[in-house]
Amino acid sequence: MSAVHGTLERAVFVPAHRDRLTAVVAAIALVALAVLPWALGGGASALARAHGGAAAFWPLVAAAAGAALFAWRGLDRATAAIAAFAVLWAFAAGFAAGPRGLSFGIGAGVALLALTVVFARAIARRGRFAGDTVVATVVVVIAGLLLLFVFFPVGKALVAALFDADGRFAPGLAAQRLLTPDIWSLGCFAGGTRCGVAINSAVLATIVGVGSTLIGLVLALVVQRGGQRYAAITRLLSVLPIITPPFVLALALVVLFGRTGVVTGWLSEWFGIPRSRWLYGLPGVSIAQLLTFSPIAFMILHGALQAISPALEEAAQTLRASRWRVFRTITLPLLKPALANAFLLGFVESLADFGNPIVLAGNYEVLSTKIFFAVAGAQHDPGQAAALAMVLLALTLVAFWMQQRWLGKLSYVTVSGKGDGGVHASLPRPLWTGSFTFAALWIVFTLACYAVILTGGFVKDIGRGDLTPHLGHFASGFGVEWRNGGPAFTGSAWDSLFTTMLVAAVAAPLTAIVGLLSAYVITRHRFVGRRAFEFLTMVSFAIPGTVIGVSYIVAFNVAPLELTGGMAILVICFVFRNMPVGVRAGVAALAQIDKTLDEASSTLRASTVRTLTAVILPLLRPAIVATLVFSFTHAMTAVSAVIFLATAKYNLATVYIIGRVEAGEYPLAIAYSSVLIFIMLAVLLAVQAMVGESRLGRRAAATIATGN
Amino acid sequence: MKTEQKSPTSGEVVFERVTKRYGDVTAVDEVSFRVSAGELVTLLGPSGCGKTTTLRMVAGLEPVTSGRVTIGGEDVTLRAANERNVSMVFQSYALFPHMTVLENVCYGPISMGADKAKARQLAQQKLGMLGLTGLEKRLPSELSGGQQQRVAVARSLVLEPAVLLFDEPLSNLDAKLRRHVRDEIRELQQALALTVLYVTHDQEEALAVSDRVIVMECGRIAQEGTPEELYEAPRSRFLADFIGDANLVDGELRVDAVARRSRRAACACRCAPTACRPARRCSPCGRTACASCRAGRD
Repeated sequence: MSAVHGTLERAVFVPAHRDRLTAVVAAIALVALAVLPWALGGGASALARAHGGAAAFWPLVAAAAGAALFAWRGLDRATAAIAAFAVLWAFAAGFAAGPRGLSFGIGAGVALLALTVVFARAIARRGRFAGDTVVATVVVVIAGLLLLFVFFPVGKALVAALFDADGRFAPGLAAQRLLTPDIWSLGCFAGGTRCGVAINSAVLATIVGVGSTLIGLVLALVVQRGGQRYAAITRLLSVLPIITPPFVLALALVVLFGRTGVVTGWLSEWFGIPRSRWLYGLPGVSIAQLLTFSPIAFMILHGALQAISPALEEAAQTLRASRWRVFRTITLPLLKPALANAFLLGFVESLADFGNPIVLAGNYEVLSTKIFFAVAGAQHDPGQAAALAMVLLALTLVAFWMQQRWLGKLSYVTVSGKGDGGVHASLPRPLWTGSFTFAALWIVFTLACYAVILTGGFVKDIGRGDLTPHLGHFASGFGVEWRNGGPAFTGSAWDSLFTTMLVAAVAAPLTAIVGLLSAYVITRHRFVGRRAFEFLTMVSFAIPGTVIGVSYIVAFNVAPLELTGGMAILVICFVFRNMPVGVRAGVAALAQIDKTLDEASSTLRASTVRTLTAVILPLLRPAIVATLVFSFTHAMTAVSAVIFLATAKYNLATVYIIGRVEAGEYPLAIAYSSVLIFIMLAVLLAVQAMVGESRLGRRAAATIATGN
Repeated sequence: MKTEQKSPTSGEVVFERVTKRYGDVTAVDEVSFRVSAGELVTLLGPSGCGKTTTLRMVAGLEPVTSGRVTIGGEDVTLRAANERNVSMVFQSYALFPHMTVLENVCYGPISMGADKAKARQLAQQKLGMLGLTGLEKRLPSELSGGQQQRVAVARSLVLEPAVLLFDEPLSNLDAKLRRHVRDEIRELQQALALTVLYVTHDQEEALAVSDRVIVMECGRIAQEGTPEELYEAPRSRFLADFIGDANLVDGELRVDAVARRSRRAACACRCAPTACRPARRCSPCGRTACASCRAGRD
């Protein structure tokens, strides 16, 4: 390549050596087309089908052959064009054939992935992505997967809201679905009739948002201003949300306060308070969600309180402000951004929550459960479900948008450069007493709920107040017999537990890989479209699980992407739902690793792959482990999305438990929940023991990396 | 791909009208210079003058916007860092914190496809040369600042690059050590006849260590020459003030009263009074001027 004297087209590097790998990848695509069965469920390869008269395959096979040839000849521009054509043609032909057509199988998967890689490498050699073929491959492949598994299904579900049951375009019906009083009625405020489901959801979310923020604030004040004595509470509250499946607290509430609940029984025996179903509906769901989500508000506010410089409060004190005045004029105003954040997070979590309402909502309909019943219930109306999903998604996005807007304006920087010494102001007496009492009661309440779950499986029927010790529930759920010289897992829960662990174990490393690779390219490389790519990776965070579940049902039930009913779709669902957390963890960890380490590696002639594997990955170990743990535990506890996707053959633990709850088999549900909690606690502790060590090693390393 | 190891003397760096723009900001503006084989050239200038960007463009860590870069006669303008025959010693040393000293120094040869035994042999040789024998098993966090610096030099030398780049290598050392290491680098460079491009903002360091100095200001070369030339014949007020201590005397310029050389200086200081305006050639004499008087040589 001759040198350029004038201004270059773009400021880029172009790889010097001849690119054999692209040709090899293109050849792999060709082999996959020739040998592997194209469609789901086996059968002939694409080449064989083309030969057998399916003319739509000829352009694809020809394009793949062309890509291999051009790549071998080093014609990058032609390679990119023809590879892109091949991929687009395959999808166009697949969708054109419609639901009756073939569904993509192993051959299609391998070939299309390989062709995408060929395209990415070829455009990198034309100067995109600063000429880095590895970065190009990572970005193009991950963006492609996100489009396929997040944007396509959600988009298709939203479009489905515009069609009637026979697949005809029906804007009138769509408007009717979207604007029905069932969704928007404000009747309950006028007295008498019920409110629409969206209003119900919004009311519940507002109660939970405000409530969890207040509870979180009280707990944070006690822990932060009460001194080291209460550090255990922090640890407790930071761990509980991770290991708790989302319906467990609702279950505990039913057992305690339901019509036949333990506490209800005592109250009626001793005080003559009649048994009632007050719990089912808004009160019960609110309490359950407050228990579930206030730890999150606590973590946010605890961090914010910690970040307020004591010097500010001390300054106010030296200006003769009373404790009340300090709290009212300094501490509280500085907490505003965190309070807004906690509120909105509580609001969004409540909207998206499925586990608690399905157990407790009763006649109080909320969006997430209504969506589920629209698909799974007797009416089976996917269009209705899609319309409701649209409303839920809109509400969630509005909340996130408000969060972004508020936080952008409200952020105060109170820690600048050097850390200030000093002591945080103590709270005004009455506030402290009140907070302390409330916090103590709340913690006791929370612990009581967990105690019910952890012990409930060991008594005869905790749901009806029969507390005779009894191991039958574990026997029926987790029985193991010795048969034919080997253990036989005869318990009814084993299947779902094994499936869950398998799916979680497969999804966790994939989530970590996809998330951390995305974080790596986002933080370490500059390329056109970087912001868009970052946005793509974060979007699925804002989509409620129920919406994803409905979308997957709508999009992946038919050819050419028929995935439902298998295990793959469960894994895919978990990977792309949990990926944003991996991205965030990776971005935060990479910010701690000095960029000159990459550059040093590069000037020592290391390729991008070697830099990644020899330098970046070893230093990212804590983030990798954190992502693995998060995605594993999340896959174990998730309900909302996968309840649509789990099948009798591939059932999941949480879905199985919900089934038991609906059948009224509370003891087994509780026994199973306690098993889940123990498994996750064990995983968490084991990993913490491991990471604890590596953290020590890294702290010493970090000072070198920054060169000080 | 295993490229043949060139002897250290084969490196000659040529910059031809190289420009680097970040959006609207021009960091380096049509800069041309040459570093001959076996020469130590310093890029000197205040922070933000484009010297580090220039160095990074030699290393291949930043692509150039326009112009041409050749190393050892080969055009490398479009080559990425890992395809250039250069090595760099970073300001922060950038030692890999999770690798031992030996693993750090072996990193380059293994990247280039050398087997472990060969890489270790090369690394041991360079570590011995820098007096680091016995520290092979240590982690960077277990070394002193000076030792870390030497490991960074050993790691760069082990590939026997055509050009060795130093980016403010002494700024993390204390004052006493700085002088010592500076002399060591110079000795090493002369002993091995290395081609070195060296970035610093410290005038004394630049004058002490270099064969030639390139002073940069606002993305352009303000003046280029041997330390003596720069010290004694600064072309502008900026240069006179920037290099060494000088008494600047403003006055009126009269042809008969002033020697030829100082007239040049006087001219230049009139023509480059503001920081970021390029120095223009000016008429041989003007009405007001300034003269720089230095202590030391007469």
